Amino acid sequence: MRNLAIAASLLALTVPATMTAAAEPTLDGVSSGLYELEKTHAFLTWTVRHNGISGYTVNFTDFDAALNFNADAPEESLIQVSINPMALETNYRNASKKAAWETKLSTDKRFLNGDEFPAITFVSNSASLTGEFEGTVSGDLTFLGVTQPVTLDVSYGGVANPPWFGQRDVIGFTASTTINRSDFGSTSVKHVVSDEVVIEFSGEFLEAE
Amino acid sequence: MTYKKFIIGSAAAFALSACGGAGTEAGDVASSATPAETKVDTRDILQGVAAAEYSLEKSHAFMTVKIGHNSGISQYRISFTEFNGKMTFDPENPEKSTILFTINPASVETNYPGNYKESHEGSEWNSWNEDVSRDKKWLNADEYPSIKFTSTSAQRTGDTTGTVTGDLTLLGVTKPVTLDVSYNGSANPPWFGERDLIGFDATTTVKRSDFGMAAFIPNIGDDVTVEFSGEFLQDE
Repeated sequence: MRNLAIAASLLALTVPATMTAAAEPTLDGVSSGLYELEKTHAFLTWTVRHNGISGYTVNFTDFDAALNFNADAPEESLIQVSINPMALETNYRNASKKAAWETKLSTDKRFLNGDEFPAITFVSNSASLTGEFEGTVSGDLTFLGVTQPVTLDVSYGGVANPPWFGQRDVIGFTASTTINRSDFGSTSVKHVVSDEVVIEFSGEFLEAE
Repeated sequence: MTYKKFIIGSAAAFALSACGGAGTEAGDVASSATPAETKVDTRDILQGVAAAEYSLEKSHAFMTVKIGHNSGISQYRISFTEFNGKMTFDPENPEKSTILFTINPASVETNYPGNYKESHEGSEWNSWNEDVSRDKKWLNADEYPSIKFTSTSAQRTGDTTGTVTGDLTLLGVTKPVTLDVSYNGSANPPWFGERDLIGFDATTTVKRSDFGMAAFIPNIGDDVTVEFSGEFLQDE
């Protein structure tokens, strides 16, 4: 927290008090090369429609990613993601039943079947720019033992250099995609839980040392 | 009391224990063997819904806040796990609906994956969840144990969309905010009998500094986007 306070006071010296909007993103001066997910500032959720009338959102709380980022040609970047289906957060209200519900979601063959398939993975094979800081990333998603091509909509949020990371760049992204779980063999509870699953990510990557 | 069959269950059932009752392996509405009089035009999703008082169906409700981090290069997510809502809803006059939401600020869930104590030496708190909920520069829950939204008016903007304006009280400060709301339809799962279940999405963006929370702006964003999706169950 001390470092955060120093960063904040440095910002206060250089940033007008009236400025509340975030700076525009830039790729200028951003390092190219290997970046690792900065796990304390990274969020990955999946959302299904429940009863057809509301979004049911679950957080993956243990996932990792390695990004090979090309700041001069972002469309040549590559990413690999690995997600642990046994680590979920549902915000389920009933404290005495919460762990059992999350375990059921993780391990039940109707849901994430995590004992049989201990990792959900995404390996990209191509990307293209659709705007200055937006693009799509395509690759193979392996879920429930089935591999299918998926495409993510991605936007680059910019670069930061918090003092506690020294010269190492921190770059941020937001990404999303929608999959049909039936494409991966998941067809359970069809009329309570939608086929479509919206996957959303927002988070930061730290330049590898 | 009006009753609308929206999801028609067939004979086969299996338990979804977290839903508090038997789940149904429902067949397609069009192909299930149901009496002709229960066939519903599922495109008119306001039809047959009870004009009544509804309460949040807490096991299917989510409230998440997104806030810019490192000057907005990514969006940080914080969820609340304890909140309640009471609504009066009239499907024929949705703009007359009223809603009261209360949120327990001590129920913050940040899913912080690291070792908080190691990376925040000198902090009086034991976890990042506790820091965000109790620290005076964040939600100061000891002094302000409730965040409240009380609607004052609503307007229809489309068939199933509208805005709801009301007073948000956060950190002891009350300001008007407007939510963008969409009504997603109704359902009648068998374990709720004839009571209608209605679903909504709602979102709004507020400036936390308007409520006196100005720590680390702009490194941590001033704009806070609140997203809700959830179900309300008709009161008995």
